Amino acid sequence: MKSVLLKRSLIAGAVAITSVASYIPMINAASADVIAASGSDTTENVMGSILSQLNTLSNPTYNVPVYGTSNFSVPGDAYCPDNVFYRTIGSSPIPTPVAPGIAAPNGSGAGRNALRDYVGSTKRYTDGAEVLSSNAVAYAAATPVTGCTDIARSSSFSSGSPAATKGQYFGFALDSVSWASPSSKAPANLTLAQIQGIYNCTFTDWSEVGGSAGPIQRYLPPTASGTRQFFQSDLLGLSTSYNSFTSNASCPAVKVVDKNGDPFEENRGDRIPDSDIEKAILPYSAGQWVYQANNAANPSIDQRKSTGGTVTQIKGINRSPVGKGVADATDNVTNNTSHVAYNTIDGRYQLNDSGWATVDPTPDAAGYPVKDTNYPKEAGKTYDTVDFPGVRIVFNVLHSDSPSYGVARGLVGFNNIESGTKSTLCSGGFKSTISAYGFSPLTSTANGTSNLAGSTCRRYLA
Amino acid sequence: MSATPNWLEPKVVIPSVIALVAICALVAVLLVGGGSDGSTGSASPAGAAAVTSTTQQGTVPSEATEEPTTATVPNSGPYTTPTMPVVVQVPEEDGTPVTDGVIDGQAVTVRAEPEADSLLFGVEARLCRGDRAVVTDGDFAPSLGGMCIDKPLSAVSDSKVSVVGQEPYGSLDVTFRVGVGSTTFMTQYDGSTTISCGPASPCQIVLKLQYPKGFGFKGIPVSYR
Repeated sequence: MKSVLLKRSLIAGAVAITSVASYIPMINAASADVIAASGSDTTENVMGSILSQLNTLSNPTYNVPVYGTSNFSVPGDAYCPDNVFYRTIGSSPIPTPVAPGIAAPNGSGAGRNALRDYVGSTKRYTDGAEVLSSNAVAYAAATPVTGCTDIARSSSFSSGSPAATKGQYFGFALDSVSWASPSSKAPANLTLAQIQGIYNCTFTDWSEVGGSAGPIQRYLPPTASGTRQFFQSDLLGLSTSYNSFTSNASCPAVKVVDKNGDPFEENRGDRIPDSDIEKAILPYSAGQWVYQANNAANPSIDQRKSTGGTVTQIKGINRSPVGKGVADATDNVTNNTSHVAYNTIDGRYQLNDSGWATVDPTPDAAGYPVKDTNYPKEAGKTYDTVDFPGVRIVFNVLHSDSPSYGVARGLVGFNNIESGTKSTLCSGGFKSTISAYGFSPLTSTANGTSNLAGSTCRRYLA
Repeated sequence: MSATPNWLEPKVVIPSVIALVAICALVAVLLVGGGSDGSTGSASPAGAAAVTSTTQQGTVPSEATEEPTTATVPNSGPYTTPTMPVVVQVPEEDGTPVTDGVIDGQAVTVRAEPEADSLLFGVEARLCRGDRAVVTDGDFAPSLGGMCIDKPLSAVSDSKVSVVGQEPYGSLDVTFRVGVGSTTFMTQYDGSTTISCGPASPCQIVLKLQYPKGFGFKGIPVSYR
């Protein structure tokens, strides 16, 4: 006990003294790789949990929030000075970023771009001021910015991003994207053709797609959103960057702003204006929906509810009319339409995946569709030839030129060779955390391309 | 030009002395703390770094970052999420917690109270094995973590109790009927597990407490007679 008391006293003293001397350069700055992750909103919470569990003195981890209402500071290391990710929402005025700081990346694409831009930057700083390369001696002594972002959280794959051959996508969990709506007039399921028809103005009223009479209002999150990009590529059959949605008198323009005039954040039913509650259709991450539903008592986590308490429901996809051949003509009867299941043992929602299949007291003959063989890139299929659409893998993206690439790969990646070394995350070490945050862990089944090492991750090259 | 050497100037000496003292103190901490128990981690720089990233900058912390680092996780037994803005009070009778020496079906009421500047949105309670730390939401889900019971251990006891708060989101009382018995069930990823609670197998009531931008866990030891 005496030892513990002495230890605590010394710790308190050390902390106090180091605080007083805080303007002296950080002792660990030269030896520690500070790891910062930014990007996807969808994977922000699960990666926050994983990174906090991986946080060590030698490799402190920081998870930059997408929509923080305060600026987010990350201490410096040898590859980045003390840095600030500036808030993009909250009280006015919204701050203008001061380099090397940037606006907090708001989405997968923005996170990958931040990784690309920092890694490629030749700028250097001393005491907050940029040092020009023309001053060779001072420039050599200054701190670069190449390591200001080390991991890009990404809920979608994008070829060539953040850099062709340099970008490495380490998939760590399964998710699904489906359509969602708070409307009591919306049907329980839609076919892919019906979803596409709504977004191209073929269908403008819920009664045209199996619901009750009432107009439809389309919503989409910002173009940098990985969930939007995946929704467009794997449910709408468009390019990830498509942004030319048609409109007419009976089909109002796609809304990309919320009830407050801010960008319409992904996975936020609470940002739909009250006037659109019976009209809105929007993409939603099933994993995020599960996480929010399982914390429904907490209004700061559950973002599905409108001001009046209406819950945005994640909806199903009826696969059959897309057409998979005569043998599958009865898919609408036999195929499960839901990405989400209610776990009656735990009394909570989860993805309709192999984990639930293992313990489901009443096995579902219609199957458990959230599996990696329904992710087109893993299955070698297209979005309209997989057995069940909307299933995706979510990623941590690294850049092989990043100065902390090795450290970052040791935290969230693996060496994709036979018997290659694997991070804890890619060794199945966070299965329950991944599930608890609404996602589904990947199997360790090796394959000849994305998983030579037999890890619980997958690796794709940009 | 001053005759004083540059390295003797106050702006150099003072920080240097402070830094030297700090380094000595930290070295002493490492020497004294080496090989100690779980309490070492609670003040570790790793844990401090996680807190810094979420609170010192004024950033609204995500739920995830409220979870502790590995270094703060004890190997076994009841666990409390650090920095949780909620206090849990376990009543005592004659100086003994009411969770000591319970019998099958005994109702235990505890009170969770948010700190003055916080809120308490809701509480879930489960009965879990006593020799493991329930640290994450995955641990708390029976079929994921395999640490908490999947169904009541007896006809007069509970497996899960939920209490949802109402504005102004103040304190909440949670009443849980502890059971005696055993349950064996499949987990989703780690095979079968058995949890027993009784005189020879102390358990714990674990609370999942919901507060602004996060949730945390509080384990309350339960012993049986």
